[in-house]
Amino acid sequence: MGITISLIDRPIERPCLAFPLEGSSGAVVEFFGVVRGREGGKPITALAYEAYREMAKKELERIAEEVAERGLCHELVLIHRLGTVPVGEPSLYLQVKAERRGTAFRIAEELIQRLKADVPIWKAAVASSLLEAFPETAAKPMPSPVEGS
Amino acid sequence: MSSGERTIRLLLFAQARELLGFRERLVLVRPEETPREILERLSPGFFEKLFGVRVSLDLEYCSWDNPVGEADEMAVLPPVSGG
Repeated sequence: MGITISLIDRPIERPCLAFPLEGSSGAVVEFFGVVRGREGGKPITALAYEAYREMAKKELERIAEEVAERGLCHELVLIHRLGTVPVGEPSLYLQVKAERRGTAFRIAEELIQRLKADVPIWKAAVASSLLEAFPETAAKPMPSPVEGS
Repeated sequence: MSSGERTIRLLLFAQARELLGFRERLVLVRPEETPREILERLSPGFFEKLFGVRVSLDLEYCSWDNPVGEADEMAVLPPVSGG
């Protein structure tokens, strides 16, 4: 079972998926998480991602091991893009190969849920009006549960 | 540095960095201090301003209320939003 986890700072390039496969995997699930044009009900031009890289990589590998182990996963590739990701571009790519589709879909879904719950990566909306004026400082942290801010 | 004190690397992310105004700093701590005590010392009232914040020591999530011991790196981790 192969697990490949990458945190990158450039556009995601879809990994090659060459057929025929070797015959044990009956299902391949691919998922792209794409930046939408609205966040929190407001128009944005990008999302700025930051990560506690070392711990994020470690948590992703731990979660992938756990999720893949229980689900007969044959191969798992996860790429998370960091830095500023423009609207329409993918920030997350996941590919899961497994014996059957139920397994592949379940592993993909659980991995993404666990990523969103536990992996130390944060996003901040980049509002359109600010981007032109202050490209570097346009990132505004997501509305956090801070009293009175 | 009084006896028993040592430095730990403190990292702040996202809203925590916004609130305290710095990303990384070496902080003098005593091994028996807890992450909660350290952060309250550096930012009184922190826990009333930011909710759901977790903490890690040497890349592992941990309790706010266990002593930091010999850990080298403490990170303050607001609610995550990756993906």
